[in-house]
Formats: sequence, C-alpha cells, structure tokens
Amino acid sequence: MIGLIRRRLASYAWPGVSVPIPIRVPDDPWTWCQIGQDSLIELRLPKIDCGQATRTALAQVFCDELGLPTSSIQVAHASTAFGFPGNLTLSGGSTSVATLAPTLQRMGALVRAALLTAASSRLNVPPSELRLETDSCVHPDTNARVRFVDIRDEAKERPTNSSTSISSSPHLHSGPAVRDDLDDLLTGATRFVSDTTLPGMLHGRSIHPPRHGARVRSVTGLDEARAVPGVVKVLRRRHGVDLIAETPSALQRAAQHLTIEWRGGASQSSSDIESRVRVDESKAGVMIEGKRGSEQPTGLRREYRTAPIAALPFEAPVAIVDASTKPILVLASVQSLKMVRAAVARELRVRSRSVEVRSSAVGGSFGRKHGSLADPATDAARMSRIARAPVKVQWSWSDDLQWGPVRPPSHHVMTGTHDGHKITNWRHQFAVADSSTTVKAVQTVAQLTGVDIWSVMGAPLLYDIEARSLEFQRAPVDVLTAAFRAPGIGINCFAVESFMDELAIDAGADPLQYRLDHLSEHIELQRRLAHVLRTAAQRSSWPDLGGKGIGRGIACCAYGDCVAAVVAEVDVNDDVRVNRLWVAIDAGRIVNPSGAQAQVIGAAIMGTSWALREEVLFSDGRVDIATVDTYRVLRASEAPTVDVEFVPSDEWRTGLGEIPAGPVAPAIANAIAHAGGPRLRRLPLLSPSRQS
Amino acid sequence: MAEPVSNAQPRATFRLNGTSCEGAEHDNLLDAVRIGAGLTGTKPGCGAGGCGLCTVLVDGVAREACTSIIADVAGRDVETIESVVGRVEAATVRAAFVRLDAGQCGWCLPAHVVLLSQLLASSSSSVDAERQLPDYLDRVLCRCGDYQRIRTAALAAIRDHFSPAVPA
Repeated sequence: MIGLIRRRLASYAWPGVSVPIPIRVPDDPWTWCQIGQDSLIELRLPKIDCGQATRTALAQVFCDELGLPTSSIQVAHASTAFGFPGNLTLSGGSTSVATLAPTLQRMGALVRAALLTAASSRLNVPPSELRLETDSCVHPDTNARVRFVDIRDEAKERPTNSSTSISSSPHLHSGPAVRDDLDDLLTGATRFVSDTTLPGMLHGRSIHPPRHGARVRSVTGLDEARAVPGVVKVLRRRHGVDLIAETPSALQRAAQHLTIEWRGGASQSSSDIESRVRVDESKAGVMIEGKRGSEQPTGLRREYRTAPIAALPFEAPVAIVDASTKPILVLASVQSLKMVRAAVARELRVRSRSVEVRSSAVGGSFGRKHGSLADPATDAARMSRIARAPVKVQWSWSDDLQWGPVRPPSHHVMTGTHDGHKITNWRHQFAVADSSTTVKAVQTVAQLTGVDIWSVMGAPLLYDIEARSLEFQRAPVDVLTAAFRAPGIGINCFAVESFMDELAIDAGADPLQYRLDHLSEHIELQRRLAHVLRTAAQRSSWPDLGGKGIGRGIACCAYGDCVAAVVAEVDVNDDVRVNRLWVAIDAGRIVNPSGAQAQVIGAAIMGTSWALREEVLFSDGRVDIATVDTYRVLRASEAPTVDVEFVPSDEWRTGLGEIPAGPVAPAIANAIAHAGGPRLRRLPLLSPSRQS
Repeated sequence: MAEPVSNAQPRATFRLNGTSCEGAEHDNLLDAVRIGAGLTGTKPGCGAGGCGLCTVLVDGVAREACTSIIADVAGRDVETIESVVGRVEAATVRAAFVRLDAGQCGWCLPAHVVLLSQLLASSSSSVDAERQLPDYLDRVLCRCGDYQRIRTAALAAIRDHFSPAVPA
C-alpha cells in the first residue's frame, strides 16, 4: 500500500503532469468583480502579484471578454475578504494565469451579458444594440446611456447564463498590454507593506534563534532595554525575545542592551550538511522508476552536488497586524493569504474567519513568502495583542538570510552505459534535504511515505531510455530548508542534463544530436522537447564554437506540462563569463507577450546567478557571517543577454516563471566544459575550492 | 510619531528635498528619510552599501543612505526619488521604462530612476552617457533579473534625452 502511495505521489513530479490540487473556483461573477460608487468595475483576484505582471495578464483576459480596455477597470490587491476559497489564494509555482484565465474569460463574458441585459430593460432597446463604455452601457444610435452603478443591482440579480459563450467579444485586444502600476513603481509612489504606516502603529522585533530550533538559555539586559526611551514592552519567550517600541531606532537601541545565550538547535556546518546529504548506496531509497536490485550499470559514473542558496526577495518579509480590530487586520507581503490567516489565527487562538489578510504590491517573493515559515505576521500578531495597537514587524536582508529557509542541498550519483549510439542503461540515485517544509500537510506526507514531491520534480527522465531507474533518499538536515522558485528542477535538472552531456561526450556525439536521438517523435512530451531543443539550437546557430575559450552548452527541462531548452555561451578565457542565453519555451498560450518574456528572462538570469556564485554557508548551525555580509547576487555587468522564443500554442499550460531556471545551470556547466574549461559538477560552479 | 530625543545626542541639520531637517548626528540617514520624513520611495536593501537600492543624492552625488549618518550630510542637500521625479531627466527615464516595460517587482526601480536621471544630467553627450552607463547600472541590484530591459530602457532614455524627437 505504502509503495502504491509513493508511486502515486512521485507521479505528480513527472514531466507532463500537473499536480492535481483540488481547486473550487467560484462561478458567481460578482465574487470576481464589483461595481463601485464611481461606476467603475473593480476586478478582484485571489492571487498576489510580486512582479510577474499577472494582474495585467489576468485583467487582459477578463477585459477581452468584457469588451473594455484594461485601462477602464481597476484591479484590487488580493484579500481574504473577497471570499475566495483558501486554495485559490495560494500564489506559487507560476500557476496564476493558467489556473485563473479560463475562469476569468467566462466571468468577463457573464458580466458583459448581465450588464447589457440589465441596461436593455432600462433603455428599452435590444442588448445587441448596446455597447459598454468605461462606466456605462451606451446606445450609440440615440446616445442614451445608463451608468453601471445604476443597474448593478439588476445585473447581480440576473441568473448567470451557463450557455454564455466566450471569445465572442468584438473588442479582443490580447497582445501587448502596458502594466498600469509601472510608473508608480518608478516614482516610489507604490505603497508596499514595508512602506505602510497605520495610525498609532508601533514597531516590533522578535529576536529569533540564530540556530534553527534553539531555545533561550538566558537573557541579560532586559531591564536596560525596557528603560530605553520609546520602548513599550520587552518580553522573554522560549524561542527568543519580543521587543515593542514606538520607533525602529528605539527597538534597535533596546536590542543592543540584550545578551542572549541559546541552547540546543541546529549544529551542522556546511561540511556536515554535505556529509549528511549524500546518497547512501547501502541504504534502500524510494524507487520512483525501475527496481532496486536489478543489474547495476558499470559504465560512466559521476556525482553531482548542489549547495544551499537563499531566495532573498529584496523586500524582506514584513507584516503589520492590528489585533484590536474586528476582524483582526493583517497586512502582509506574502504568497498565501490563507496560510498566513491560519497561522495568525493559531497564534491568537481565534477562528480563521476572525482574521482578514490583505496584500499589496510585493517586492519579490520567489517562493520565499509561500507558507508561514518563520513569518513576521505571527510575531506582529502576538505583539499587537499585547500592545493593543497595530504593530509592524519588518525584517532586514540579514534577518532573512539568518532566519529564513535555504534551498535544500542535494547529492546525485549517476551511472550510465551506452553502445556508442544509444544509452543502454541509466541509473540516478539522489538524496535531497527536505523541500516541503512550508506546507504542513505535504511535509507530513513526505515524512510518512519518504517521497517529497518538491524534491523529486525534474528528476524523472525525459528521454526514451528503456533500462532506467530513479531512487530517492530523503536527507533531512538540522538547518531550515524549503523549496522555492523552480522547485526540484533547480537541483535535479543540473544533475540529469550535465550527465546527459557527459554521456554524449563519452560517446563522441554532438550533445544536441545525442539528446534528439533519445527523444521519440511518438511521445508528445518528447516531441515537444525535441522541438524546443531544435529551436534554441537554431536561434543560437548551434554549435558555432566561436573561437578559443568560447563554448556552447545545451540543456532542456519539463515543469508540469511546460517544456524549455536553453543554449548557453560562455567565455572561459579570463574569468568565466556567460555571454548569452537562448531560451526556447513551450508554455502554452501567451496572454501578455511582454510580461511572459520578462518572466523567462528573469528566471534565466536568476538561474545564472544561482549557478555561478550563490551559496549559503553554515558554521555550527548558524548562517556564516560572511554569507550575511556578502551574499553574492549577479550584477548587471555579469548578466548575459537572453534571447527568448515562444512556441505558438492555444493550450493553457503550467506557467513559465520557473522552468528557465532549471536548464540554465547545466547549460552553463556544459558550455564551460565545451569551452575547454573543467567539468564542474557542483553548484555554485564558481567556488573552485569546493568542486569535487 | 516623533522620535524620542536624547539630550546627550548632538544634533545636526540638513536639507531634505529642499526642506530643512534636523536629526541626531548618529542616526541613520535611511531611517531619517523613510521613517522620520515618511519618504518611502527610497527602499531598504542590504544595509551595507552594496546593493544600491537606497541611493539618494547628496549635493548632487549618488550615495547609499543606509551607510550614511546624519553627521555625514550636515549642512548639505539630500535629494530622494520624491524630489528627483520632478526633474525633466526623470520624466525621460520614466517614459522609456514604461514604454519598454522595464522592471518587475519594482523594488529597485526608484534607485534606477535616481541614478539614471543623474547620469543624464551630468553627461556631456549621449556618447559620454553610454560610456558611463555600465557603471551606473552596476550600482543597483535587481533580484528579478530584469537587467536586460533596464539596460535597453536606459539606452532609450539616453537617446531620447540627447536627441529628442522633433515634433512633426
């Protein structure tokens, strides 16, 4: 039975398969939009936008059917007050457009039909003779008009017509759409939660343990901290100290008086973590493909490793909570409104429905703000109740690096044989620290079954190789780990696509042709992969060696039912420099080409940054101070030029903000090897002292 | 809310976007701007002067506010994004960024506008501005990885500034 559950779980990590999260999507159009007193239509979305411009794309889908330009409507920031079911309020995995677009198409058509029908009754003309303007229905022949606000009650009372067709609007305008929030972001007028102040608001700081799981042994300086002008409360807790003050600087001065001794908690250093996250070939892991004990391949054997890295959204985690209001108000920079609401409700021991969580502009997220891991909202809630005032808890980058999770490190043992033309046996054993720590239910399943699906994604083989096996070992470590952008594929794709390259070289074959030779035209996913590989190669004039010390590398990947291929060009003549990336991606229907392209370029650049230098080091369970001071994010002058080609499609597929970050790292590693550089088998690639 | 004042702390004055301001000499300039004056367009980042997100102009020279204290700017002019947006150069930069859809989460954008406006104002020609551009772009990190579009928009702003289109 447990084997069956494991196989079923692992299948969700399979390329071409989207995880079947049961989502109840409201079918009442007035849950999705409201008409305000100003007669303007306000679109309400359950998901946050942290820079992906999904608000623009989704507004565009809605407006295409509504028959109005996107500039005519307002788009509200997500709030639990909108009444969407909880699982719809989770923003993650690049699923917002694919999950919501078909529904918003339908809602747009329903709202249009309801408004035209209600206006038809008022104006005594057939609906077909009316048209919508920004705030009114208009009869062009007579210039008669009725404002939306004056017919909104009638429109809401009309039953939704399930037969209302979509894509019938004469005003379709899909294509380039300009974000309506960009100029406010440029001028600094946008109010992020970090920029928000509520009347009477206090500032809180909860000092968390520097080592995950540690407790307070002793604290000195509490009285001195309490005596600092502007300090409201200083409270010792089991896992830290809470400080509440009138200003952030008073908090800072008070904290300087405290000396906290900690006991217990994480104790591993980076070398311990590498020892712990290691495939134990004497231990039976979970067989995801093939059977253990089958004949072991004796051919090429290579090991790959990925180090912990940080998501580091530039707007560090922040929350404001007012526990004195009804409902309790939470303003938070997060990805999952429901999970934060539940965490705050648990902290305050109230029902979830007593808590309202509102989002605003979010300064980056990348999976870090998913779930309720070490979230400042619970700290702010606790302190707000004590202070009986709104309390803001604002983390710094340094806090987030020290207290936040890191991407789980991994270790891979790959073995393969070939007959000179084809791979005859492929074996992949891998050990990964826990990924599913942000969602309790998924974590529990991982603990019970041994399958952590966010660790496994990207590991199942994409190629047509009959004799294959995939064996997974959970390797929990004592520091805090969690999946973020490009879950699974960010680590597994590196091992799979690097090894594929090494087998090609061993066989004396061109790495592109070798991949194509292992993809069947009769299997849809493999046919689509071959297409993106050929497209990326064609755009980059593959192989075009480009001179001494210049090399090209190629890699591909699947994420859900989205596929992508990347060609990287590197120059190893001086320091390693990534010159260019060519990305070909089949991500289904593209609503807003500009926003989609930005996501692909951004993921490719972030993937380059991860691949080259990013690494979180630990000493005695703490994040090393050098990491905190100098965490290395790619700068503009180091960023390659990215060329993006979308494969035309009418399908709604998994989103595209994750997948390019997968194949970028192996494409760069492969390119370095082809340029005459060393074969690098550890991420980050440019930490030579630690390459095996 | 007024900052509690310690009498022992020597104080200093400076001009913030043209208005006289006073603060304790050892107080952090970024806190004075964001919390003291409520000018939240300047964003916090690494806190060590390495990411450029908190860039302001001090007597017209770009500087990271997080590593400055009030004593560093005593008697000087500090200008933040809220003031810089009023300049003609900033209007050119904004228009280019909006036209080319540059920027994602937006956390780094005010710093880019401050720096690029300064680049346009201080360059003698488009060639001079383009020569300096890589250094300017390297001063601000973008976690969303939107450097390519930011660079394209900055180049467009340089062209627009030095070779404005002639109305037909």
